[in-house]
Amino acid sequence: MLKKIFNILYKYLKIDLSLKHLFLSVALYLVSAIYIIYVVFDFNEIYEFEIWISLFWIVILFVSITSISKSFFHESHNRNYYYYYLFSPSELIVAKLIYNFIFLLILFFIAILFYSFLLGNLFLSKHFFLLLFLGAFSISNCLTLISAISFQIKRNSVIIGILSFPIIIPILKILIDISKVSHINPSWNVIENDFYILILINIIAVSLSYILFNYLWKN
Amino acid sequence: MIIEMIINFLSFFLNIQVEMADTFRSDGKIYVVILVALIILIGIFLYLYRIEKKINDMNKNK
Amino acid sequence: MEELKNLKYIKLFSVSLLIYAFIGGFLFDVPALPILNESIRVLYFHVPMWFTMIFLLLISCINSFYFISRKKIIYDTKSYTYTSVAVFFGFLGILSGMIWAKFTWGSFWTNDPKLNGSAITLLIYLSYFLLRSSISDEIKKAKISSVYNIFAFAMLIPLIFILPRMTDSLHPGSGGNPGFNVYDMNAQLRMVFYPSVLGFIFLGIWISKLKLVLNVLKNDN
Repeated sequence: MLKKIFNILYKYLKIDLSLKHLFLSVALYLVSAIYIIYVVFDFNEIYEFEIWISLFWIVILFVSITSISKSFFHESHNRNYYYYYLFSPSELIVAKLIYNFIFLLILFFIAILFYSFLLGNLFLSKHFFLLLFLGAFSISNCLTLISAISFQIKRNSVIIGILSFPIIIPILKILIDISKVSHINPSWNVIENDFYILILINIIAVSLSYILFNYLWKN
Repeated sequence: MIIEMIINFLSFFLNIQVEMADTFRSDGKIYVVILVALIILIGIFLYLYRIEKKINDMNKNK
Repeated sequence: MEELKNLKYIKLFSVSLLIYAFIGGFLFDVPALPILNESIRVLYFHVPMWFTMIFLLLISCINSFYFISRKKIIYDTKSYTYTSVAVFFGFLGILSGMIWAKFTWGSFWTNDPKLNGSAITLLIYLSYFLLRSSISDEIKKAKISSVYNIFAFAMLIPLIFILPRMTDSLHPGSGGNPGFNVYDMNAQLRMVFYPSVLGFIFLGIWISKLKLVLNVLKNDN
């Protein structure tokens, strides 16, 4: 099974490398969103940590929803049939989860690079990169099944936003809280509870994606 | 005595006027409870009315 | 109409418990607290809305699970019906809570974890209805919306049951305590509160069963 998952991951990677515009369009979306913030806000205003971090996570939210919806878009029906005969749904969903995680992680690092370049990197720390890692993990886990759901519907670009926003709000809230608190007091005790909830949400999301994708995939 | 009564009567009204803006906070906020209970009841009744209307529409179509 | 067969006891319980709750809710003694005053009685009418909503959503989620395992369209109709009644109770809960908040906390809406949780719950289920209305094929609609329903309900559990208890809240029972503990609620309150919760839950089931018959007939036509 592991071999097959790697096989799928390799295929996804090859498709993404051959269709460069997919990744580039998401990256451009990200860059222009950050640039809008740069234009609209004064640097002195953004100097406050709360605004800095909240705006950053909001940008991350929109970019991750756009990018994950794209990750299912580009699969044509023919290719889906091909996957259908070659792989089992559980292998597909695991591969998709891993792929989305890596994809988001790369995007997040581009985002933090560009964001700190334009709006100052005064608040970056070792903890923040760990948090970015955790954020990419939980957001990709939650959104993968939602994008699989909206893939089955026509006009899905609107649907995915509506379906994913309410589910992603709690995660975003926890992430923003952790990043605010850990900036003031970077000790484990303060963030312990929030961290456990995030892990719990991830466990629920991954296990349900794994179970429910079976039913979604069969036609 | 009559004058006293009139003054009492007037002050009664005056008092009420002063308290008018605060009706919902008077009597230990009991009116809030009544309002909430009424909203819930009216909400449920409206919902049931809507269901009944749908049933009637369906009967007409048959 | 086999749905309406076992309804007799539910109706009986619902009516008697609710009559008891409305009489007791207005007349029985309550603890005298500052700010809250008599409005503590709103507890008997506002909180049962949320209990009913969660209970109906749980039934809806179980029915969605039955649908994806047994593939019968009736389970999907059931789950849809229970969800719509649950959302209705959720709206009543929000409305009543807003009025209670206005006269005790001073504003209709505050940034409180429980309020956020209830708002997000309603958003999730409103998008569930939107999802349903955007698919025309019956089987596909049932399948996709069941999957979303199960996923959404599971994601709600940490949001509603765990998150509000860990952060500061204006509601009682936050900061590590379970929902209602000895300090928040004494025997006097419980004597009306639990019957009221049960009465509203039974009322919710009653309304859902009626609506279910309507929806089943609509599907048959």
